[in-house]
Amino acid sequence: MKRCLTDRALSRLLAELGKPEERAHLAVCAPCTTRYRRLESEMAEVAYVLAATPWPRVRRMPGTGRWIAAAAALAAVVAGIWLSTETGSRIQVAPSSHRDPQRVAAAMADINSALFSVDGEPRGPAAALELDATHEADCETTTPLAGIYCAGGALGLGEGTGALDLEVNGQSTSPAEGRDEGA
Amino acid sequence: MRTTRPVDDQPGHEALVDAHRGRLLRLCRLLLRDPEEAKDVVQEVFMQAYKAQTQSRAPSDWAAWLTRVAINACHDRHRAGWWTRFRRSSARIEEIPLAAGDSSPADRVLSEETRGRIRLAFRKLPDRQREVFVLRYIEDLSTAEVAAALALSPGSVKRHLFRAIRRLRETLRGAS
Repeated sequence: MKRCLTDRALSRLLAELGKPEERAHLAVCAPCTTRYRRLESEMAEVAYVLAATPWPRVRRMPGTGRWIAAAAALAAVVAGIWLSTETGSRIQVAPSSHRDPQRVAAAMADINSALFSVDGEPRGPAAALELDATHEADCETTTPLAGIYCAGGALGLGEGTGALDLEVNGQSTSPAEGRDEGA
Repeated sequence: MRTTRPVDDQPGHEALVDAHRGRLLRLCRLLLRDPEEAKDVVQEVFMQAYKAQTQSRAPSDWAAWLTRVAINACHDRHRAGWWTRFRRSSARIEEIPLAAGDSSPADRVLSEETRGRIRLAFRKLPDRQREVFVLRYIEDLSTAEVAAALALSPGSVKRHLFRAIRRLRETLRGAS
């Protein structure tokens, strides 16, 4: 070992945890030996101060800091419990009648129309059910997107979802109608 | 393994107290950081020693036995006395400076500030590291003796000592 020992290695050696090569280096390296002796004397000084020098006499005075902290913590816990019981009694769970299937279906239709828009026009898969016969030909084609207008097609949605009609400036902009006009 | 010696070969209780009281008091004060509690623990230790003497259970090595019992008693205090510690630690402590006549020439070389720094660094050590350091450097026990007193392996004692040395150095350098 050519490089000098780190402080950590010297501490390890002092605690009898050093490696043989570190011990061998310490035996031949004067700077490391000096540093090791300094570390030894530092620890001896610590031991001397702890063991031999008189500790300052201590006078205990009644203190309030910790008691105040403990009382504050207890008050916070009590307040937390009281608040949780108060707010808990006010919050009522919505009755199950509010979660009827029709509303859920309508919400799902909205999501579908937003997700599956074509050319910026919202187009729900359910609206495709109302396509005229000309579009039924699409169902027989192999074009990937054409199939989404077919009932029970690529999206696998069946009947009963309901058509989605949008009204802009008093005119019906049903996706199906828009498509018809465009065609 | 504990060996006992014949009753007529034992030191008297008074002699035992005279020989070990100061050392145990110092040890307990360093481990508990409370002089009053240290006195209580040392009294308990000598009570146990008296019982051992009267029941012919005297060990062959009183010094090692007393050290072990004192350390165990300090552990018990740490475990059980949270309420006492809370009550005592909530008290405001005023350190009364020592009179000039109390200190020796060697003490005067080290400034009060340095001594305060050293005591603070020692107080910050975890319990186990403090125990190992005290037994190794102040009680001057060998690694094997420390291991026996603390019921640890020698390797574990060395690792705790290494960490204690590192922490003390770091704290002292950080403070200076």
